[in-house]
Amino acid sequence: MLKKKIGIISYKAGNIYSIQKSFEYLGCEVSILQNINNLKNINYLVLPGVGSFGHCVKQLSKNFSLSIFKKTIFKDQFPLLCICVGMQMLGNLSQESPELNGLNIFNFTVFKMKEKNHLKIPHVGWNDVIFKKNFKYFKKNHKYDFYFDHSYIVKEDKFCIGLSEHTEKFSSIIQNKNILACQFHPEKSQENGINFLKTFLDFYA
Amino acid sequence: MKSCINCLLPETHETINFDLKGFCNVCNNFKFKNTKINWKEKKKELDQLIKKFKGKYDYDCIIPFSGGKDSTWTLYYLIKEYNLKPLVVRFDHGFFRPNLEENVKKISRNLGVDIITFTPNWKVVQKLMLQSLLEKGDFCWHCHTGIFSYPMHVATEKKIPLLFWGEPSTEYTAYYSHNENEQVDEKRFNRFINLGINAEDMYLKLKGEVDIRDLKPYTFPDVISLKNIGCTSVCLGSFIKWNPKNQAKIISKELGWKGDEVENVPSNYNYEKIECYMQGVRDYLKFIKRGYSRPSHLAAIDLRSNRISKKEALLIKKNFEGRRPPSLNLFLDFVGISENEFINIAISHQVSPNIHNPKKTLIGKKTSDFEAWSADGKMDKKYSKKIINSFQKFKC
Amino acid sequence: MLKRRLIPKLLIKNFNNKKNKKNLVFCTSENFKKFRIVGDPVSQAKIYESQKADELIILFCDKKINIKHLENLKLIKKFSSQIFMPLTIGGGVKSISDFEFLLENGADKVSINSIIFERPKIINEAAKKFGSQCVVVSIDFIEEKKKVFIYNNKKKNYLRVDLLSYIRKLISYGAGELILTDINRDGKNSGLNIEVAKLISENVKIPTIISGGCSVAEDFIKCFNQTEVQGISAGNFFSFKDQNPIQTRSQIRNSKINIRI
Repeated sequence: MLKKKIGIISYKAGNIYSIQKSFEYLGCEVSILQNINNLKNINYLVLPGVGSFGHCVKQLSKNFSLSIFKKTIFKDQFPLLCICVGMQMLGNLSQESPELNGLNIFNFTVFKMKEKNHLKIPHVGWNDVIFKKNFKYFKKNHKYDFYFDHSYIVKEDKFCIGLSEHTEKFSSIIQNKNILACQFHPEKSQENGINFLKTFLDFYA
Repeated sequence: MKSCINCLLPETHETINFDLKGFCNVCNNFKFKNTKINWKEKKKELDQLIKKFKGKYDYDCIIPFSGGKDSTWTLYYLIKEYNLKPLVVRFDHGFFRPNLEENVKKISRNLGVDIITFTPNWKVVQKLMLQSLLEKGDFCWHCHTGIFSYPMHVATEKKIPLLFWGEPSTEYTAYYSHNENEQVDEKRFNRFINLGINAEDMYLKLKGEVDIRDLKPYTFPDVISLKNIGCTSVCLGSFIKWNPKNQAKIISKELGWKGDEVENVPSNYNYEKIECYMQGVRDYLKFIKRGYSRPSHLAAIDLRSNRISKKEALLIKKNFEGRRPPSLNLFLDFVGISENEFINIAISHQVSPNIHNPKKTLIGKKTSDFEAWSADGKMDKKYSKKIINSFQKFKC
Repeated sequence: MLKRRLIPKLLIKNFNNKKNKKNLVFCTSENFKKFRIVGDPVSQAKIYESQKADELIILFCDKKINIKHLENLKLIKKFSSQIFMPLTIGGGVKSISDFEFLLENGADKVSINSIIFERPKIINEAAKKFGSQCVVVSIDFIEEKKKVFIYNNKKKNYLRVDLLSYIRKLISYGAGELILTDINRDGKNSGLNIEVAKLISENVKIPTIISGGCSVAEDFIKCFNQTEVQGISAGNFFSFKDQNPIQTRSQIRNSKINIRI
């Protein structure tokens, strides 16, 4: 059986080592991409992201041509998994760094979580994701817990397939055509996380 | 102390969880097993599994075996139902009882099987018992890890990829749920079998007191060597509905398997835990830590099947639970500690909200084969004192 | 709903065995002065993952630490390649490049302690570069006669300050999470310091983790019920009791506290 080939976009914004190891654990071949010019040997792309929205956007544009990146996503329809700030960057802009634009691939603004009573921010720890549809290893209307670590959110969106709640409801998973994005860290979410990565691989097989 | 309204197991039982009605997850697992699992489908899966391996290797499978009711049933069933040629593998924890050995002779001659028995180095076992008693309030680390690791080594060495164990853990605890595919693998070994201690950890803890080679029987083989033989290690109880009482009746009738008295257990439960003469100490230890032990466990099983009333269950607990077993004398010599030290170590591992009252302890009866239990191999108290001192004073 | 966390804490020390071979081993401590061997770091991390621990806190605690030492790098990489759970790593972190080193090799969060006394602005620098969710501030304290003193483990001295104001200042620099360890209770089975846990967790906006003194599951239950701590970290409790995260979790859940099962 041919090994699935993952390309992780590396732009100096966070820990890609764990993501790499998670996919290798699933039997994939992983390449760390410093550019996206030659994707001949890649089946899937992963866009990680840790840190501030602004820092990630700046770093991404420093190391990659955003127009080529968007072409790869739209025209070439590469399956793309975006994680944490990687998901947030798909939007228009973020309250965290309002002077910068996101990738404008999805039409949303990223907001800071509102304050609520005694609830703490950043949103750190294990929280439930309710799946709004059946998604391979995950059943509709069932709860599964994943590990989150963020202060900014994408509100409930029409492309939301996984919903979570902390100080307010937010999209924990969005999906449209070839793009799957999650606010949590699947590479840190033990069994559920591994199943989520498996879902990404099988859904776009 | 909260307890399940159905089976009366207390909140100190490992992994117990109560639902809104007050039923525990062990009872709910039992109900699930009886009502929600398609056992016909599971039997078909078992047929497929066996078809995949039968006749292709020196032995069709390995059956880890003690001679107790569960492993005897597993052996009997696989031979009768599938005519398998198993390699029976026994890990000798050091405390096999005379009736058990007679059972094993009877069964093996009746069924006709090859048996490998491994008896580990007693001097190593003593050190492991003392260390794990101190660290985890459970002296059976060598047994838990040996029983689950040694047969896996035989599998890799003799290239026999299929192993059948007995009951899945969902029978008695909730370390796994019925939704999870429970394999007898490294994850399970780490989850609850090894008490949170692997052989490489034990080696460091013992600070050179044992050779690393002495710990091989307790070391779970690495993932790669198991993958190389295509290892499949499963519980028979994942494919056929487990019913210990019925199974014990069948093996008694068909093979002449005999039950035995067990310290501090009512005589009508003579099919349970007959394999080890340290069982009484194990149960006593559990009682000190958690406020319940084997009588509660046995009553819970009967309550779940509506075989006894709650009144009868409470009477069983009252009349048998928490007694000091005669085997404790042997154990204290084996690890070189005093009874006071034993009680204090056990109390340090108490599980809230249980608080043990040593003054209320009654004395349990001897079994009829007590005098036949080997008392050989006493621990040098100089060694045990050194270990206890070093442990309690945090001397790295 | 966000769940409370159980976080095993493991200290890494160099240990000379009889054959004079230096090993990095996992230990737990008593008052942070005396140590007990738990075992091999990777073996223990894998065990905790199988036991569904929510997170691990890993602290290098030899006297002279060079975090970037090859042996440490090899170990951290082993963690990241074999276990898929959140890791907070710390112990001897002195610079932004130490932060970067740990985050690049698998840490999700970096814990800083001693360096805060010398250069508190490092919190701000790290938060700006990596995001405050990666920055964990670890504070050791003792309580004597109702007065709380912050303990500097490097210089072995005490800082007599108002704990809440001190912490608020650190949060204003950009700290994302707080770990509070009661040094006197560490390894002593005396129960957690509920008062300090309550005072801080109820009065700060960021998540607080308390550590030091867990003896029975009841300690966890009391603390979660009576305070707003988001996590409880324990070393001796999980390593040297007839306990594991799955068991403890069930007991906590039976008290209707929101925790993973």
